[in-house]
Amino acid sequence: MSVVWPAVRLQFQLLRTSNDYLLELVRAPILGLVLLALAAYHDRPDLVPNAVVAPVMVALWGTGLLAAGELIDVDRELGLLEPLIATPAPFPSLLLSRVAATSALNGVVLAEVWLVAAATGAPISVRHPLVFVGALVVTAFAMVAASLLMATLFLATRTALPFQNSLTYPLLVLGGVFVPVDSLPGWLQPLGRLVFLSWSSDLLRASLRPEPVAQPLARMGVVIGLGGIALGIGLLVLRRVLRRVRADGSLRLT
Amino acid sequence: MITARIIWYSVCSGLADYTLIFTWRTWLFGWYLRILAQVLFFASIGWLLSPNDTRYLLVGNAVAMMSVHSLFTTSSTAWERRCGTLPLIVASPARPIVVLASRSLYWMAEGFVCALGSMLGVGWLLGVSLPLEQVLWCVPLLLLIGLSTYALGLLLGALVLNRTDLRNVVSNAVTAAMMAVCGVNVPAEAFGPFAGAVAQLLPLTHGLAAVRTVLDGGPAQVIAAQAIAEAAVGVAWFAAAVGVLHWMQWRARRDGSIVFAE
Repeated sequence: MSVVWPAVRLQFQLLRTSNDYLLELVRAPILGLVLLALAAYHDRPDLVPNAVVAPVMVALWGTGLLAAGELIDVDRELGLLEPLIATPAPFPSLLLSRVAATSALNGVVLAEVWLVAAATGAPISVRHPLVFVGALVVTAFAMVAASLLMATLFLATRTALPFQNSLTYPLLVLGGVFVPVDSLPGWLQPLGRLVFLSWSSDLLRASLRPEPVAQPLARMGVVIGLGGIALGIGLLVLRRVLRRVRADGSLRLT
Repeated sequence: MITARIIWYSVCSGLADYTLIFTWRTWLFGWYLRILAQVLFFASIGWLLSPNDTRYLLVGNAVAMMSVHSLFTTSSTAWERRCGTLPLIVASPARPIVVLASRSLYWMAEGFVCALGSMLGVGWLLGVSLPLEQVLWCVPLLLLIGLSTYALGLLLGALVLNRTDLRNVVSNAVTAAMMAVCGVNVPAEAFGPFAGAVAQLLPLTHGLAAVRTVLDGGPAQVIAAQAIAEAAVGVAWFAAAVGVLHWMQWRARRDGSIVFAE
């Protein structure tokens, strides 16, 4: 617990000096505007929840990927990675705290997209506040867990950039962040259901619609379960990678 | 002759950067897959609308890939400063504008492959019929869109030479804005008359309209008019880029504000 606050403070200091983290804060409201315009242009108010949820999920996933990659790459560049791993402080806790600090940016994204929706007069309101808040909380947990898993993979490879680039849109399509997984071709649906984004997006959209939300707790449980699996694999792989790089001194070479 | 050699060396230098970013495997199974997925992400919204909208979204987002890649020029222009090579370029007898305007041309080649590949590949996946003959007529228009956007990317690259930390934010913000107002997902007028007027001054708007007209089998005069408008927009942005780069070079030599690395 004692490493959490220093790790969060370190991450906030790094966030202030890295403009790349501003990317999603700039992109998300514009994407929101485009998707809301699509719904309005086609006179489809039923798609407004999709248009509001999608940019938030795109930003969430983008920030998670960026955080996972930057934590390793920037730490490597700054020469922080080796001392951080050498200290007695548990590296997984450090990593998790810093990823969680970064994902706090998504609160700003949510506010931005909401403001864009309000400014464009889109008919949007939270019809099921408990489901909405619950979905946000479990989504944040799953995202932090997924980021830990990805950071671990980036640690084990030479560079994060190719993975960061390639994991964005394929996962956003599979995650049904605008087009629900149920509307994807049948052969893609089982894959989509393995991505926590699909359950989170469905829940968030459902919380913005007037119809009752079916089985909210069970669906939140699935998000927590998928996040838990990512967390478990991430911690397991991280422990192995750390043991390996400590044993053979290959941290600089990985 | 010397200028041609400088252009060739600049292109080779840029390609050397590029090969550090991607191997053919990471490009094909990483980047290209991501591009196809990005076009699919937007085009598949048409599944919730109508087949005609799927086609509209597919063509808009595939053609936009040409501009998205050309705008990477903003970042790669700024790399010269981050790598410490900019002062050497400014100090050399060659004109810096020739080097900086040529070093990022590889983005155009990649943009072309991604635009055409995603139009055909994602089109096939979504069952959108695009006649091959008409798609081939779009090739020169795609290159024109690439060139006009490249000019804008070069200007933005020149503007961020003194704040290279902003290169990604600026290029991404402009890319997102172009995706919004240039008629990629909805007609530019959907955002109101002001956005519609701004879109007329941006690359992609006219070129994309020309591509849509070609694919719809529209009149040649309309296509030619839109192509000329796209070219004019590109020339204007290129002139602005040259002006800004000359000014930056003059100021850097005068006050010594240029640095070898950040």
